[in-house]
Amino acid sequence: MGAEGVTDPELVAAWRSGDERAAGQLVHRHAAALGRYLAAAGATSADVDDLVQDTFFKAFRGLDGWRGDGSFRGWLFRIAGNLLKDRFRQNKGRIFLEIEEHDIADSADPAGELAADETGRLLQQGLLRLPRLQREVFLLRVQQGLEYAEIASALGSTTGAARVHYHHAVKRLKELLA
Amino acid sequence: MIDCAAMRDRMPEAARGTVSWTGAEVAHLATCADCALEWRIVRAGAQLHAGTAVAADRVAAAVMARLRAAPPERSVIRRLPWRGSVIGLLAAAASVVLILSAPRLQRPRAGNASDTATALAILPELQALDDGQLRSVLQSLGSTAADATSGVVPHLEDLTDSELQLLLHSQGGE
Repeated sequence: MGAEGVTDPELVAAWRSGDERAAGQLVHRHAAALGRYLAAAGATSADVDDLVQDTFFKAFRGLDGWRGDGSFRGWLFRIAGNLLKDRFRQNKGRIFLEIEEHDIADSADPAGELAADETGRLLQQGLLRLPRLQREVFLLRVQQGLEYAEIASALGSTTGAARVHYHHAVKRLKELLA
Repeated sequence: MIDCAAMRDRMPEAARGTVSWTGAEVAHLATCADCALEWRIVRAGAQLHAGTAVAADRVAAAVMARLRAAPPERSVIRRLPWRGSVIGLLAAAASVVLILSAPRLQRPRAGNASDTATALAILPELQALDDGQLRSVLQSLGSTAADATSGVVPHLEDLTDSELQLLLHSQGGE
């Protein structure tokens, strides 16, 4: 079965019927996005692969927990966020935000590149200071492009609350970057 | 007239390239400092860790290996055609366990259970003792016991087994 044109719920149903390839396709479809999300949310680069693996393992083991009314990807983000929170606790409250060359927005303009570099660095620092929910909502909305309804579903919250968290996150980041 | 709030709502999509700014909106970004700052943040946020690489093949293989070693728990019950009966039996078993456990919750402490066992063991011997020997036994339980039962001892033979047990219990610190 090719992954193109097949929806997540269809792949989930196929996996439930015993099709291992469907599970593999779900991993290939969402692993990169999960990795980006986890890295931006504070996972070390050394932890990202393990956390992505744990996320899928928990997801496939607990598919009954996914009601199917929200997006599968949103549900993965929820699991990933919880795993990261656990990892954060294991690290006794320390989180790591790494800035790497590829994190910086490309720009043909050297001055613009420098500005983007600076904005990226400040944004990382700002994210570090945000409450977890604000950080997660900001990343899900901006980095992952989820709608508020999807974010609410992913975080077990409401659309209104997701909007409020996003608003507060942006406001605080503006104060830090102004 | 540009609505700042409406424009900011679309910034994540614009940063991801799924929508484009109009000429008027581009001009607005050049003049509205607050919108320009938010646009800078959102654009940088959309690019965060854009180059993060995950070895999807390796992750998928590892996940599948772990799943084979520990299959989904749901399959145990869900695949059973008679799962309703299983759930009913489990509920019934739980009820039986609760019913059987309830009296145990009211049982005396371990020390008292030991006293009961001791009393049961010696009761046949007590029946064979005369009053003097019974008094001696009670004295061996302590002076308080002897005092408390001094007036009772002549009538010990009149007590039932359960009354004797209660008496011995009372000497055991109850």
